[in-house]
Amino acid sequence: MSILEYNGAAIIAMKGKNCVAIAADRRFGIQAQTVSTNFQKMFEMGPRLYIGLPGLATDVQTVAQKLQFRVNLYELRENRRLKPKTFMSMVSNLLYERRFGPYFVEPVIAGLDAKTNEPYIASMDLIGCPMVTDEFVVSGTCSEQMYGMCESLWKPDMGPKELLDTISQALQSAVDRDAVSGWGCMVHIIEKDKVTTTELKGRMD
Amino acid sequence: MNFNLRGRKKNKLMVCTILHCFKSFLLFYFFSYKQEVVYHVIFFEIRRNSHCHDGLNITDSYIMSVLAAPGLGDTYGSDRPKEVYFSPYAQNGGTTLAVAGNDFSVIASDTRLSEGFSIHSRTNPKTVQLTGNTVLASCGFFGDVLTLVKILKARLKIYEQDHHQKMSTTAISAMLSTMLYHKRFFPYYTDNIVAGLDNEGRGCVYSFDPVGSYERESFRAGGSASSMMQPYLDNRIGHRNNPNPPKGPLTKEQAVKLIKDAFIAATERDIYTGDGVVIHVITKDGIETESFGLRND
Repeated sequence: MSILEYNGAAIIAMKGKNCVAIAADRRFGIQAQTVSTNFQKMFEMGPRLYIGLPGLATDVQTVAQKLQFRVNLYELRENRRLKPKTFMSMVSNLLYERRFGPYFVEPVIAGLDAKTNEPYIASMDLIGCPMVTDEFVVSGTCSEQMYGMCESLWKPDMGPKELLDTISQALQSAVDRDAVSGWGCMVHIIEKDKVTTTELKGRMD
Repeated sequence: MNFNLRGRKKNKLMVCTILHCFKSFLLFYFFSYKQEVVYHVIFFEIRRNSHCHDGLNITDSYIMSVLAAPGLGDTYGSDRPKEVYFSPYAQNGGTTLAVAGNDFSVIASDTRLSEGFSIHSRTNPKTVQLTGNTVLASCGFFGDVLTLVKILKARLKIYEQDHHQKMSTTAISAMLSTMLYHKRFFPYYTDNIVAGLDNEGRGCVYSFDPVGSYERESFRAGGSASSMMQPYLDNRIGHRNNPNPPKGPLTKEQAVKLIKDAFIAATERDIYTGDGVVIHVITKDGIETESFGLRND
């Protein structure tokens, strides 16, 4: 079994019309044993910028802290907000610094540009190879299930409400077919003037 | 059969010579390769040969494993014992899908036959009509699919001649389960789904694992893209995580549309699924078959 699957996780990000969504499950387990059901896998890196970190839980927290540090430093030095694209490069750089002893996380980034409010989503492998798309990105232990759901439910130019419905159903249905992720989900819908956070309760097993 | 070790590495001979007074002994070789310690166990019985004192005969039946470390002198001319592999299975991909309705069932498969990165055929459905109201969808190792279908058809013919009637879908499923279990320790590497009508005329779908565990279900995806399709079916047909499920029972038209959508979505991401889908709609009036094109890449 891969170290990336040791704790279990599932994260999706989706683009909508002038909005983006990011959703993650809440389980923290050790292989098949569930330890807690309110584990944080998504982190706020700016007012409209989030990162989801599925993977080895210890690295999830380490990478989140290191990124927070670098984002703070950037904003103090530059005296301006970080663009999602710049943040993506920052994450990629952090991961590639550990090219031969990687952090076992495969991040998902979702945000709106601080100036233009342009939606932005991207995902990455554990050594920082980025993938920027115009539709959706998935990462975690049930990525096949998530791809199947997103590929059939996603359509372009969804509004925030429809986007919430779509991402919730995609994530819930995907984690229901995975033993090591699930136990509740959290969704952030990011719009230019607000971020709406929704907690989902699906089947808890 | 004996392997004569005459002229092998000198250190082995020396160890053997020192210990040749023993009737037999076990020799365990531990050696490390590329930092990871690999324990290769040689379980030889080495006998003193009365005809040839410097030679050693190793009885074939006692050899449990003969070592060959990759990259360590395995090239031509090496005197190292060599492990020879034979892999009896292949994975030929393909995806199958079946849905049961109130008075019908629908079963479908894609038409791509592949191995690794190459495509053998773009026109190879994985569905086989077994009787007037039963269709089997089987994918995995296509060699085993062919053998299984051949034997299954022969058994169905014998049944028909013995009982003067066709076998029911339910009975075919029970028989298939025993046929798979009979090869419990050298299984048919196949993922099977049977669709048809039960004895009351209701649509029925039975899904199997490779060694014969089976259950009746209302929908099931099998094969390479099953993990992508199954949650979609849970959501659309099982109405899981759907706050406003549609009212009324599933119709044939809805089922066929769902199946097409599932295959279109799976084809986008799974390289072993594509080219086309063949869909069989089974009702009391017979079986209607339709084909539908998918991406070729």
